[in-house]
Amino acid sequence: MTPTVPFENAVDLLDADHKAVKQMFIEYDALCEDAAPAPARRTVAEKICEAITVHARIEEEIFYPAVREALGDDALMDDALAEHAEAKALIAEIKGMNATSSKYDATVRKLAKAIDEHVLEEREQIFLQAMQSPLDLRGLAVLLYERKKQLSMASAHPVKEKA
Amino acid sequence: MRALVYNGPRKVAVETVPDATIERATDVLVKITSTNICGSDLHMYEGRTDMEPGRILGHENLGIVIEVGAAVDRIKVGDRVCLPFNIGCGFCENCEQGLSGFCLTCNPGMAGAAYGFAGMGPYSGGQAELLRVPYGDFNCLVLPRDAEEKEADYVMLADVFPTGYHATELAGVKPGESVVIYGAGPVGLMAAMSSMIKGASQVMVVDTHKDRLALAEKTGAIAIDDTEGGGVEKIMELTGGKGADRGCECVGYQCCNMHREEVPNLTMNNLVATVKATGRIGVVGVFVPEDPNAEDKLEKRGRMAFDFGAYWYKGQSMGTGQTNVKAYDRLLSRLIEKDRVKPSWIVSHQLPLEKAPEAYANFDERKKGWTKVVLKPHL
Repeated sequence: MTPTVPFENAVDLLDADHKAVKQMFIEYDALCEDAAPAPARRTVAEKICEAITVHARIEEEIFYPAVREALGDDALMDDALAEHAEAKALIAEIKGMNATSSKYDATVRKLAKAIDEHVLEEREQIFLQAMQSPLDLRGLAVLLYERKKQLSMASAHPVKEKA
Repeated sequence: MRALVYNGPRKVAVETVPDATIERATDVLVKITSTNICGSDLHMYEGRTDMEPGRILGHENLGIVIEVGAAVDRIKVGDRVCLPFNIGCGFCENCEQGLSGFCLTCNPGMAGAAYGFAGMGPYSGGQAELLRVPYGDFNCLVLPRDAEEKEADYVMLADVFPTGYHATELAGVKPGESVVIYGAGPVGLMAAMSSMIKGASQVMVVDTHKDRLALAEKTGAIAIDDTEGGGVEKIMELTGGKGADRGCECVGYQCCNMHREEVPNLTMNNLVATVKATGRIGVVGVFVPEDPNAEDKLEKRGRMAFDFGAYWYKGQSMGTGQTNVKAYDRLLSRLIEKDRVKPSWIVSHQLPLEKAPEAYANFDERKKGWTKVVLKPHL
């Protein structure tokens, strides 16, 4: 049976992640301005890191290889992967840091800036060109959706993943 | 080609850049003969957006078609065209409904694309000798035969005239009604003119700039100078204590009080106060979902303290958002062709492109007499 995928195509699905993450970054900024306690800030920061990690993984496993083949633009895709690597390094930094650290907020904001720039490029370059290519974005949405569900479930039950 | 390039906050320069070209078979290439500086260009000029340095500004463009892509049917070389500032595809769910300002194709992820505008896609602006127009068959308005002689009128169809008209549509202005318009900048002035065309009985325009208010009076509107405050009281007096039937917001998030301090909720709350109970408000001034460089804490998060209680209590309603130029420009062009309106009355300067940097500086300072600048790249 074909699963029910609410997203029309891969771009809609991936960009819904972008919008959700953006909202969480705005929420994080608000917490900083209101001098919220460390646990509250950490909860949001961890949610952000989790969302980006899953998003980057489905892009790297499914979307980017398909776009690379359709566009034949290696430089564009290598650039996107380098930006993912930068984000992953920042996420690792945040995860290894105590939220009471004086550098915590600055590192989350650095991640926010990196993601903002990556999203803009992805929208204006990768998404736009993918939409103009023969790539089956509707079909890819189903694969992305299923993989995302798998990964989200795994991260909700990390013990099982280890086993 | 020569083009006005954004190099950072308050830094723009006319530079030689690679020529715009046909990139896709559906493109049209236009030699720009008139291109305006818009108030919304100033948001980018002032560094209040995430505009990347190196990009060409300009979204109010008019010119002559010099080349068409292989898949273009309707548009011909030599056509004089005005380009709606929104770039639409013509075939997505929103374009189908006439909502080309919210095209889902041309700027994936975001609703709406435009030339040379932050967050509205990778498209170059038209403050340049040449402009690439995507989906040319959809995005060109072919102008009537008097296009050359009335160029300063027709170029207003790219943005400000349809946007001012849209404010009156969102507000639902009908013959005989009274309208209060906040902002006597080009868009507010066009909203005043549009209200008069629609047969409003009383049009009141509020601003603090005397030169702009004088232009508003030329449409037959009542100018309300709010420099010393008291604008709200004047409107209530003029409307017999009831408030106006309709209200238009033509200022946006960078609106200022009489001391030139930014107060983002000022015009919205004044509209709630000066529009009658059950009246409707049209908001075309630009507001943004976040403004990291703002002073105000709420404004940073794209929020404002809005008088929602009074708004609800008065049973008011509101329409918001950018104009779908394609929904209006053809019909509005006939008003110009048949001499019913002359939107060029707001033009204060027609300058060669090379003078653009100083024009930006003067316009940004709201220098007296700098209402609307038309740049002429081939002058």
